[in-house]
Amino acid sequence: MNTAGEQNAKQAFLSLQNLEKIYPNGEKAVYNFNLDIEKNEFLVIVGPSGCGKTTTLRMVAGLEDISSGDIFLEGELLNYKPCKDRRMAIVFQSYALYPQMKVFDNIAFPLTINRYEAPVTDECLQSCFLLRSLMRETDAQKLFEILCGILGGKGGARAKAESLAEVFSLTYECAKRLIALCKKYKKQSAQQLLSQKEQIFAEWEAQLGAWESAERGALQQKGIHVDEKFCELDENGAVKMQMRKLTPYEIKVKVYETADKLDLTPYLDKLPKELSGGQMQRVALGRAIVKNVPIFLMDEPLSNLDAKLRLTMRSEIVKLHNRIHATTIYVTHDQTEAMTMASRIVVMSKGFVQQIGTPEVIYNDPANIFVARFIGSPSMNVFNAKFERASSRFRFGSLEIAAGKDFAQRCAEFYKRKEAELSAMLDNFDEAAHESMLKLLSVTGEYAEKRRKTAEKNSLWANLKRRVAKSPAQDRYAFEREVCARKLEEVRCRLDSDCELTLGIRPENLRIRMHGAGETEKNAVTVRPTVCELLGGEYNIHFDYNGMGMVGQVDAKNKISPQDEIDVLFPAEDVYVFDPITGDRIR
Amino acid sequence: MDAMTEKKRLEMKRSKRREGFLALALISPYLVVFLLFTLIPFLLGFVFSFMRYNPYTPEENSFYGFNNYINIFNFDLPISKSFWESFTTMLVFDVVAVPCLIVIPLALAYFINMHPPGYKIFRAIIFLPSVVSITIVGIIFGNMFASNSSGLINAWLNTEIKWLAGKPWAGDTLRWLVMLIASIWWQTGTNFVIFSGALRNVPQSLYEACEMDGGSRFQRILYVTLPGIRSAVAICLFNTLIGYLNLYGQPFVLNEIDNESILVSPMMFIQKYLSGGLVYARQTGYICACAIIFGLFVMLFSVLERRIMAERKRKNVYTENCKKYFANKQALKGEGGERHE
Amino acid sequence: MSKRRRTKSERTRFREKLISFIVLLVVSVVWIIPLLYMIGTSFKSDLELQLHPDTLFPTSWSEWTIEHYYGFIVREGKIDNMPIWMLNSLWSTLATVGLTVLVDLLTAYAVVFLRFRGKGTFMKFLLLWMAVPSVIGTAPSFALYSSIRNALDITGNTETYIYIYFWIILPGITGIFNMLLMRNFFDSIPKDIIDSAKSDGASNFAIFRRVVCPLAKSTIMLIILFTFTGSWNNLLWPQLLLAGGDSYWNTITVALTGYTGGSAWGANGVAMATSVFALIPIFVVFVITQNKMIDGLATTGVKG
Repeated sequence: MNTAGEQNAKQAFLSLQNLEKIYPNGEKAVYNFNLDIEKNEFLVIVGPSGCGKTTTLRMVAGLEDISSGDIFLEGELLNYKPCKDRRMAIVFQSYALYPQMKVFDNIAFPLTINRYEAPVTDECLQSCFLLRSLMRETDAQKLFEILCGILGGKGGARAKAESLAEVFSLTYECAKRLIALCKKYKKQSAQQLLSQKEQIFAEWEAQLGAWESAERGALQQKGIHVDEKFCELDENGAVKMQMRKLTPYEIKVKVYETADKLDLTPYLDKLPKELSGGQMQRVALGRAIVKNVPIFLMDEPLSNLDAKLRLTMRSEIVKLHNRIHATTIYVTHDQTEAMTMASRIVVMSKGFVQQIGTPEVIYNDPANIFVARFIGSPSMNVFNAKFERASSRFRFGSLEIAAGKDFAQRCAEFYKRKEAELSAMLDNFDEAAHESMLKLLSVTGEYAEKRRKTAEKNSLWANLKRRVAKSPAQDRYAFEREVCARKLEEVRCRLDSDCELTLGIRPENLRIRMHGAGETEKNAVTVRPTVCELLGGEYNIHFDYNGMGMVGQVDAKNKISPQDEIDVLFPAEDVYVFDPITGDRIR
Repeated sequence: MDAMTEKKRLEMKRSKRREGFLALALISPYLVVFLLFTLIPFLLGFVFSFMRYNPYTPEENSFYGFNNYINIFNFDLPISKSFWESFTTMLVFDVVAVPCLIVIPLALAYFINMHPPGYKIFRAIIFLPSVVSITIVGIIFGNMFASNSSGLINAWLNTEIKWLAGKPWAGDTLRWLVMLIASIWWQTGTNFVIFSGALRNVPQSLYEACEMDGGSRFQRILYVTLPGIRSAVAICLFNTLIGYLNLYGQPFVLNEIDNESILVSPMMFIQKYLSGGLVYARQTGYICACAIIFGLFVMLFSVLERRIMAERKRKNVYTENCKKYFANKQALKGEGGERHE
Repeated sequence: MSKRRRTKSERTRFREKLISFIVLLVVSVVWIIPLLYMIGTSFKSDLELQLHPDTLFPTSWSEWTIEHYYGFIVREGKIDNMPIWMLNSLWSTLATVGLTVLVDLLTAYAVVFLRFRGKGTFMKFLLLWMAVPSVIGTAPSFALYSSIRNALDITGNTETYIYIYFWIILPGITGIFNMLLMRNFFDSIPKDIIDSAKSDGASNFAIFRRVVCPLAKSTIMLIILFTFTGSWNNLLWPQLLLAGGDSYWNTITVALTGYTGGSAWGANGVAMATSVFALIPIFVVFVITQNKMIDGLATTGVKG
């Protein structure tokens, strides 16, 4: 644990440093996850299935052991802390509601089984204070009316005390004392009481005084001091705190408030099996909220809901996040959710972090081709075009797109850099180089089968066999080293000559119009659409060009059908350029 | 148009009827066997219980009224005495045995669920005795716990304890102990397997949610494990209870040579009198009445068990109280009253 | 990978596995002792039994003997009994199993896939009947059996034998549990398969033979296992019927009671050998289908 890391940790709210997860069979699920999360952020980790996002979330929560790396919460090391001490709440994909308990009990569960820190208050003195202010500040008529109403109504003593506490904002014990005070006047009506107001108040004052002096005397005997808020103080003058269980009344109040926030009041008596998906999810949220923790973790909570419900719940979750000001880490495979909900997005693939950034950055400035294709619906159109150094143009079929003045130079610099990196890796092919190669392959998506086989080869049995055979460790990296060498060769070829690059352009940036008279521009093509999908306000126009299937998006006002001929313009400024060898973007 | 639909309707009727006949034909084997061997004897049981019945001398059969039932409760008759003795004996044994046969398999299933290395072998070993027949169990345990020194246990302990001798309830608990051990060995397997299946079906995310909520190990068992296996426990309890109310095999086979005609359970009682041949045949009506009384008792137990393990209806109080809570909070404000915290 | 402190959950998991391993090991060892004792005693000579009653197995290799195994084929006074008992058990059990499976298949098919009047009442009645204790029927069944036997006045040996086994086999078919198992399985077959078969023009018999039965193989296996074990090990009812009859007719389970309890014939070694031999069929069935049986039991428990 280096001090630099600790320094960083102290600044950020939640700091994840070099998190890695290796399973017992040798498979590595998360590589070097580095992230500093600010307070009140809504962070979304997004990626295809099996990319390690859920594993990362579970490592943060404490449900999985961290193979290496550290987690700091406000400077505190969390690695070895059990889940409940991490001050986090988690909402599962399957909601994980206790099936035998009602909704109320489900939400109340964290409150009932835990002890919470609270100051030790002297109940008697506090109640007397509250009652005094009640007498002083409440309108007497209303006071007596409500008193008679509640005390004369149905219900046991406990229910009446609770009602009184709720109306007058007292504590439960205080309400009980109030009932004791009113015992003498049970049978009388509010009017009668009003007429005797002074007398009643005087009596109450006397009783309160008696209670207070008795209590203070007892406290003095025991040598306990209290401050203005009636909290007990210890020897140093600091407020004494105790870990105590919440009283049933306190629990009830908290649960009611939470249920109200989530509109669950009509369902408090139902069992989870009687609820719909959306309602169950709100109960799971309620259970998390009621814990009053600073960090929320959500593991694909919307994937079990139908499409329409997903839309409503998306905004509900964001609204909730804004209301309760908790830092949220949200895991999903749906890039729409990521784009609409996040304040920052982490894109992952095959255990590697591909890019971290705000939604705008991720969308408009993707770091590599994986991010570019994963984010955005319909996904980006990608095709390989030849870069002609002489004319500084990209050529794809009959399409000619201008490359920009200094692109050739930028390209050359890019490849020089890559060549240096790859040859350095090849010279000393160690574990780090191996992982870099794996990351590269995760971007380009090549050799997926081979990679799976390599992962199997890392199992315990294979490792044992290898150790017995005493073969050099380098053999483990043989495949990746070969790939590295090959890529280096390809990069070297590109340093001087014209090369093939991967271009990408988003569907909404393609300018589509009906084919008119006059010449088509150099960077436009004339095609017939294959499929026109009407989405209501937009058309998705599918067409083929030069063997590649592409998609464009236009406003629905232009009625385009497969019989029409259209011109598709590829504006040069909206074109992204990627290197086909490593998948990185050439900026 | 009309003629067509008329024809169609007739065809539909006919095919429906054909289907009905086919169905009846298919269920008739089961129905016939059920009627002959289950339903009719059941009804006859009631009939016989009101008669003096002797299967060997049908001409002697006569209507007897409620006398059989009255005789059952007449404790002077030696036959009634032995019936009720066997009854109470069995109950005492059941009170001890049935909880053992639920708790021990549950504990073993809990351990197996942790998947220690080789758990499949352990599972097979624990389940294996369940497929052994009771007589073989009797032979094995009878020889292990033989009274003389040739018994395995006695040889190990170097003693001559008379395990299986003595009247089973007149203060001699050793035979009960042997029966208990044999029963546990024999029948833990089935309940064990059912429990381990049920334990596996409790979703892991529920345990994790409880962990995150702050539950200790014990609380996890209380709030997640036990409610999750509730239905399996109910089934096992029901089956075990019924099985042990019908206790017959164990006491019959675990007996010493000099311990004749010990009646330990009502089933043994019934069995003895039925297989007594001509000697006891006169009592058939009485035996039927005994069987009915006993059967009613078993049904009572099963109904009780179902009731206890069923999900209880709980009062719907929370929603109401929540509404009241918010109404209360608004009460003072609604009337314009100011309240300062 | 650098060494790091073990987290609490890792430690607990390790401790869990250790404790459960130790507990289960102890339990398994204790559990298997009676069976080992049985096998070992069957190989001990009578002399050994007298001298060394405290060992599970014979003391030295030379002391292993299979004389008891001869014993049940040739024993003074009783010759050739054991194989006959085995055969009795075998054929009656197989008959019970075969008939049960057949009847259950047919009835469950009718209940699930065909419509007929009174179907609902039929199933509800069966479900209710499960709560009725069978003991009520034992005495009158026996009385009925004796009456009919008397009335028919059967004297010939074979006829009585067949009559007795008739009464042993057929009541075994009425088990409601197996029927419910089959019905629940048929219920779980998606209706689409049946509908598509019907629209292809298949008759009921074709659907039964080609669609339903192949799918039901695992449930059929389960029922076979349960019925086999239950029928083979049945003591109460066969004992009632076979009492007082020729001992040739006994099933093996009933016959073995001769070695137990109040009427022990002595000769422990022979008893053990007979038991081992009697266990072989069940054991074979168990070993072949062990996993299926255990898994099947587990799932039936869960459905509740």
